[in-house]
Amino acid sequence: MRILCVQGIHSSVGSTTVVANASRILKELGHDVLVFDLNPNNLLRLHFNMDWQNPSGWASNISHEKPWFSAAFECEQGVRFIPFGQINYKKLQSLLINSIAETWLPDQLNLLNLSNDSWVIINISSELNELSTQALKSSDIIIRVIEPQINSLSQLIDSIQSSYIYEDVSLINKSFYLINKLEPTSLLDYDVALILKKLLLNKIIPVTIHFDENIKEALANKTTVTIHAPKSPAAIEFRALAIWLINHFNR
Amino acid sequence: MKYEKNDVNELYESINVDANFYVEIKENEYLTKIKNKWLLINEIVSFVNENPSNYNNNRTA
Repeated sequence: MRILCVQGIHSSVGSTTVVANASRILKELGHDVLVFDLNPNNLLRLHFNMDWQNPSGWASNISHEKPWFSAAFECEQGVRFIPFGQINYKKLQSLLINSIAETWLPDQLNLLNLSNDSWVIINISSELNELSTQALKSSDIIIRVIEPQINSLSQLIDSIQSSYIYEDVSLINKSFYLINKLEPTSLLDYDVALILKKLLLNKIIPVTIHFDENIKEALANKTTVTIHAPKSPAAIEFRALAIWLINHFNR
Repeated sequence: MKYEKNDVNELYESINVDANFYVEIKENEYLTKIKNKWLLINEIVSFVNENPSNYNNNRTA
């Protein structure tokens, strides 16, 4: 089992979109893929054509004392996904305090008994909580999604100085950065991207995802850009990302 | 002029070294331009340069 954890350097950088597209392409390439949404915003499911009004998910199941794994779904392309589910703030706090033991996530992943060549892709929020720290620790590789924007650059330096990841060498070693939403017409975006590459050196994934209107349109159609516009620049870049991931594990 | 195999390799290596050196100079020039152009980038990069040990430990670990 290969465990990939995807986290935005801050909110709204497109980490959920990266998870959805990477999982679809890995499936297209013949891999067995399970996507686990640990982000309480519960948006990942929308990329997989789940009904907007459907509140099901692993967290809502636990809060209703049902087995969490009965909230697993499969999209038309065969990617299995487990949405977070819709629960209110109080129930979420209660869940994190009362139901998520220190090794909850690795224990549950082991229970799934997945084959060695399966991919588990975990979507976590940019904020740290018990779930995201367990996901970071359990993963084989962490992709931190970053926009070529000044606020992302500032956040990156702050996180290098003080974040949870940078207090643990094992987390640093398996962390890589993906530049997402590079606006092709913005000189500032290219300047910030160059600074990021100079700062992060070999920690930058050698694939950049450019801003593409097709990505927004894909979500509006409850799918991913790789399905909505398979020949679009963004779809091609997501394929390159998937190939990089496969190569990373084959090294 | 006829080159032996080793000569070609040496020639290629020397061109490559020169080219990399040239690219690095051009890149550094461009980075200086970026810093001069954007105030906040200049502040952030200056901070990184002032705290290299802390930063490098994290980056290259």
